[in-house]
Amino acid sequence: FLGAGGGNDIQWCFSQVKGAVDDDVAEADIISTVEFNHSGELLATGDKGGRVVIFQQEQENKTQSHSRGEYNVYSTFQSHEPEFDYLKSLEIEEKINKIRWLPQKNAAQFLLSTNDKTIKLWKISERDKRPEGYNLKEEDGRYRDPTTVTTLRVPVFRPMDLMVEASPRRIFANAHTYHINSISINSDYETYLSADDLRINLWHLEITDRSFNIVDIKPANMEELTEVITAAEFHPNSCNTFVYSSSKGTIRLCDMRASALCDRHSMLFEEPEDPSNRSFFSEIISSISDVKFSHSGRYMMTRDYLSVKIWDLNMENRPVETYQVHEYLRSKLCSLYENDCIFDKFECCWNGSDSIVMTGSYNNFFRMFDRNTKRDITLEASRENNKPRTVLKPRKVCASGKRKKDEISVDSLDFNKKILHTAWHPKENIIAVATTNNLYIFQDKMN
Amino acid sequence: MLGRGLKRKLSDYEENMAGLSSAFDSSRSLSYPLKRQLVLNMCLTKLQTYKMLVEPNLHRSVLIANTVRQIQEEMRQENNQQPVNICPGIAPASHSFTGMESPGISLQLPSGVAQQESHCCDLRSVEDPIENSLLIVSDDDMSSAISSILKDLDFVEDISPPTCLVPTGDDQPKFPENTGLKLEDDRQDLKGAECVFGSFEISNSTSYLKDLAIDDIFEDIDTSMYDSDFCCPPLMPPRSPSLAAEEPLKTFPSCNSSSASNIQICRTDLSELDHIMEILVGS
Repeated sequence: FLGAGGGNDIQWCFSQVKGAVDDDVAEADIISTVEFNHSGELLATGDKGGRVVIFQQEQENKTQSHSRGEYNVYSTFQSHEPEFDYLKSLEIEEKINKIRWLPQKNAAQFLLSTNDKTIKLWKISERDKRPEGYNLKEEDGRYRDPTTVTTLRVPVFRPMDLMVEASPRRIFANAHTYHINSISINSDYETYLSADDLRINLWHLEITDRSFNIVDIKPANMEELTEVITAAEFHPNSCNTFVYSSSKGTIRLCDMRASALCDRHSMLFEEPEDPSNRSFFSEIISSISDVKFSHSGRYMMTRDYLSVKIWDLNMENRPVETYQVHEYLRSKLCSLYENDCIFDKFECCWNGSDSIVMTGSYNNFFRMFDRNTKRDITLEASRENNKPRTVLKPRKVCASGKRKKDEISVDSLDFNKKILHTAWHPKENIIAVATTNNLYIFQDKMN
Repeated sequence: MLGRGLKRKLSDYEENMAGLSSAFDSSRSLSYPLKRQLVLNMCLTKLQTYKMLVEPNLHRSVLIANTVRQIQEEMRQENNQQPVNICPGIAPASHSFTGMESPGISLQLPSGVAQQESHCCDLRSVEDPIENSLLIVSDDDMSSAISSILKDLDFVEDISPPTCLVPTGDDQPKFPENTGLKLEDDRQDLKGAECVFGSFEISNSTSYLKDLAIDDIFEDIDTSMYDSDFCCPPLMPPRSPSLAAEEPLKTFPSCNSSSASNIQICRTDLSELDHIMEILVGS
């Protein structure tokens, strides 16, 4: 695996950690999504309590050339509240499932955030000036007695302390019967898709009172249901193309030009099952938990329970690369099924140049795979390594047999410490890794 | 955040299961049929637990249902290949499996079946204590477990014009024989407005309504309140408006089969119909 040193290898260092120090995790603080914006200057997190916290990177300090700017809290707001659907007698969780940033068009920033049922477009804007010197109002806002106004005075803008305001600009509701698992903004920057277990809808960012249903896999008789949609994403360059993954380990690529309802895929990506690995849990572990296009748009990556697969969009019958995340869990599947860990949905991400992919695991471990060198590394997100500029020590899990020093045995892994959400800065070697309730930021060592 | 679902107390059952999963994983003393039985029981337990939740997770339910289907298919093929009863547990065992109809799962095999099984299966010693804690499950029971969770997910979650809520007459033979009881249990589980309307039959083809013209009943009644409560699922605006008028009718499952259990359900519906009429008319 990747060790320290070596010309091109990245040496990851702890940079910051955000969140409570207690071991006692408040449920509302559980991080449920992490996303950098297009420039990497902003980093958004969503949590189970329906809050969004946005961090902003400090401008680089010329004197501190050995590290990049730190991320500090820029804005915090309550995106979603718990709701009760009285008609169906169901509680709608406020947990933020996904956040996606829009590219910046003016001074304000925009993002989409979604819970199980409702998507919201938020505008985050800065206010660092305010008008002062009104003619008709006092400074505190009360209107002056008109008889005392004898001169004309025009207000001027004066600087004030920076205020960051978040306001909901659009609310896209009532279009999903099932739970939304994905949102993805089209490369036309005018439309976006939202996907739930059985349907995918297309929205226009300006229009909230209707959406187009573009995929519907609900059978006429629910008893015939054998497959659900697990994730969906638009192609980064081709505005008529999107993919969606399923619980059976397949990915379908659809072209919206072909027909209004994209129930018939243009391409179906599926790897034949390896008969030697067949078990009762084969289908469950083949369920895809995340799908992400490469920045180039030439490849896509999928994450299933034990592996990460890279697919060339020109080849449907098998992935071009497969990386084992934690193969040592294959012999523990029954226990992991029993405690429901087998249903954990890990995400995955690409680095800016599409050369390295990253995903999380248990015991607060996360893994990176270098597609060029074919080397991989396991690192841990833990407060024990919290000295900035200290290179993180690689970890190793001992699958069986004699455990070497510094290795950890499979049975000692803490399955409650799972890293489901990770994000990579679009341009630099800065990564954000979410443990249950803490956000870790790591950077590569700059010399 | 509101609590959801039921809390389970750690019971002997769960402790046994944890021990069994480890035994499965270490793959030492368990035979394949027993491993399969263990997985099957875990699946059915999970499905049963999900049924008790207000909103079962669709993704997990489908994955678990598929696992049950896979095992079911395997067991069917084995049965076809070996007509002699290797495992009497496979035979329709309506007497041995009471777990599915009642809220809890009975773990103790009725003594008669336990003896039967021990005659045929060649496993002993290590596996006996494990066997005794596993359920005997029939093919029908597996099917009904799958249909029941998936139907629940449909009913509770989707109220947009659902063609899937209408089991047509053709579908009736698909239900296992004990569905008559199950439907009533399901009806008690139903939530919200559709609970009352869910099992209504307003189709001209039913025998019990033959003498009544449906239109006459509603002729002079202002059903606008009825319409707004029911016909405004806040979903799927792209669907054509002409469907909206048909929605209430489509959601009523037909029970135009002549089986006794269905007529019994229809009779109960009649009294509910009266009750609703009273509310609408305001008498």
